[in-house]
Amino acid sequence: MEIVEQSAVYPPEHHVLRDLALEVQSVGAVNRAWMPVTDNICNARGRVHTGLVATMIDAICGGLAAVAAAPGWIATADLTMHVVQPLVGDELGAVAKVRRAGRTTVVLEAEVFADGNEGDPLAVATATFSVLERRDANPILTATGDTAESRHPFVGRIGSFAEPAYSACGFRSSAHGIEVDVHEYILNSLGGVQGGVLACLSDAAVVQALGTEFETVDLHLVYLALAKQGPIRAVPTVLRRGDANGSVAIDMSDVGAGRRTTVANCVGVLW
Amino acid sequence: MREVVDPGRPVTLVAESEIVPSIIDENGLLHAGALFTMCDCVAGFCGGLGALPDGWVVTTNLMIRSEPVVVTAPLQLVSTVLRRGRNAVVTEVRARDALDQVVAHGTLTSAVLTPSEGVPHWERPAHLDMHAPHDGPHFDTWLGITVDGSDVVLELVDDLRNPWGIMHGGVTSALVDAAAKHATRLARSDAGRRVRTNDVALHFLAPAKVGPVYASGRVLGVRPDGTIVEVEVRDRGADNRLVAFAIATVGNVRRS
Repeated sequence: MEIVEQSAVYPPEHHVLRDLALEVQSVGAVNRAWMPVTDNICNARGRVHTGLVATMIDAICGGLAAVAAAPGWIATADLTMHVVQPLVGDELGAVAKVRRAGRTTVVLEAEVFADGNEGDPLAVATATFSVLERRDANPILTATGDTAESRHPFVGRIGSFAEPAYSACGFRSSAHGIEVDVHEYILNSLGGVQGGVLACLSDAAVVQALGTEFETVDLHLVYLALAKQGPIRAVPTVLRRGDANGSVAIDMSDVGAGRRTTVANCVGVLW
Repeated sequence: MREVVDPGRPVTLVAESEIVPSIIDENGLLHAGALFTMCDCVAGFCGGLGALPDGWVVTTNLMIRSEPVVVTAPLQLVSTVLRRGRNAVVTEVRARDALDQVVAHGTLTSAVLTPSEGVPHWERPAHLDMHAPHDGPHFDTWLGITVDGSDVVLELVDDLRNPWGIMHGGVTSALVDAAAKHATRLARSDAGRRVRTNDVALHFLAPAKVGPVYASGRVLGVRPDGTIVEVEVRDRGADNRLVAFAIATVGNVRRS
C-alpha cells in the first residue's frame, strides 16, 4: 500500500508525514509501518512522543481504511492509544488490521513494537474511520502486492525533522494551553489539521498540564469537525491528579472558525 | 434522567443516581462495570434524542475513564451532544459525585438508524426513571456474569436486551470490565490482588442476538498504573461471532 501522488495538492513537499520517514508494507489485509527514532521525535526523557506514535498509527490505519472504503475516501472519527511500555528503540514499528469494514465506518486495531519485536507491544491502538464520498483532491491508494521483503516509503520522497518535531509542527504554549496555526505542513488530504497532529497537540497539552516529568499513556480522541482555519487551541483540564498519574480532558477548538474540533480524554503517568 | 432544554444549546441530559450497595465493588469503590453501564445509558439516550426525528441510535463506540475515587452519593451524570452527523451522533458524558469529584468522563458514538417499526416518540423535554432495588444482588450477579475458565460469560436473557432486541451496550461494557479484571488476576502471580477497571475503549462490531455471550481477556502488558488488557466479546450462539472488542486498563487498588 502506498500513496500515489496524483497531484501537487497532497502531500506537499514539506509535510510532517514525510519527516516521520515512514516506511510501509501491505501484505494481504495487514499493514505494517516503521519509523526511525531520532532525537527530534523524542521528549526530554528520550522517549518517542506519544503523539507521534499515534500519528504513525493514524497513517497506517488510514491507509488500510482507505483501501477498505474504496472507491470512497475516509476521515478519522476516533483514535485511542494505550501505551504499555516506554516508547524507546532504534526503530518503532506498527502492525494494523481491519476489525470491521462497514458501509459508513471502518474499525481497526494496531499494535506498536520496537526493533522488530512484533508480539511484544509497546502500545495498542484502535481507530474508527468514517467513509466519505471521494473528492477529486483525495490521494489514490493502491494495494501494491507487497511481499514480506518489500518496505517502501509511505509518501514517496521522505524527509527528516530539522528541529524537534513538535516545534516543526509549530506548537506553542500559551496561557490557554497549546496552540498551532493551520499550515500546509500539518494538513490532511481534506484540508484540515491531520488527525495524528491533533493527537500530538493533546499529548503536548497533557504534559503542559501535568508537568514535563509526566508522559501521556492513554489517548482517547474523538474528531468532531475539520480544523481548517486556526489557530487550533488545545485547552487541558486536569480532572484528577494522583501521586504518579493524572487524568486530563482536552478541548480542542478552531479559534478562527469559532468551533470545537476535537475532544480528548488522556492519562499521564510518572514513568 | 431528564432533558435540560436551553435554546441554542445542544441536547443535554442530566441523570442522578443513588449509590446502592449492589454497585459498590470489593474495594469499596463504585463498580466500574455499573458506572460504564450508567454512562452508556445516559450518553446513549442523549444521542438518541439528538438523532430525532430522523432515526434512533445504536452504540458503536464507548470510551470511558473511571476514576478510582471513593464516591459520595448522589451521583450526577451529564451528557451533551457534541456532534450530530448524517450517520452518527457523538455525545460526551461526565459523572460527578456530591463533592463535585469527577468520577467518570468520556464519549460515546452512536450510529443513526431507522427502526423498522418507526422512530420512537418521546415527549420533550424527555424524562425517564429507572429504579434499582436497594437490597438487590450485586450488579455482576444480577447480570448473570459467571466465570468459565479464562473467560467470563452471561446468558442473553430478555432483561439484558435493548429496544433493538440485542444485548444492551451497557451490559457489554460490564462484561468487558469483568473479563479484563479476570484476565488480570489470572496473569498476575498474586491472584488475590485487588483490581479495578479504570479505562475502557470499547468498539461494538456486530449485535449480540443469541447468546451465551463470552468475553475473553488477553493481557498485553503492565505499566505503573495498571495492566493493559485486550478483550474480545463473542456471541457463541451465533457461530461465535465477534460482537465487540476493547482495550482496558485495570488498575491496582491500594489496600487501605
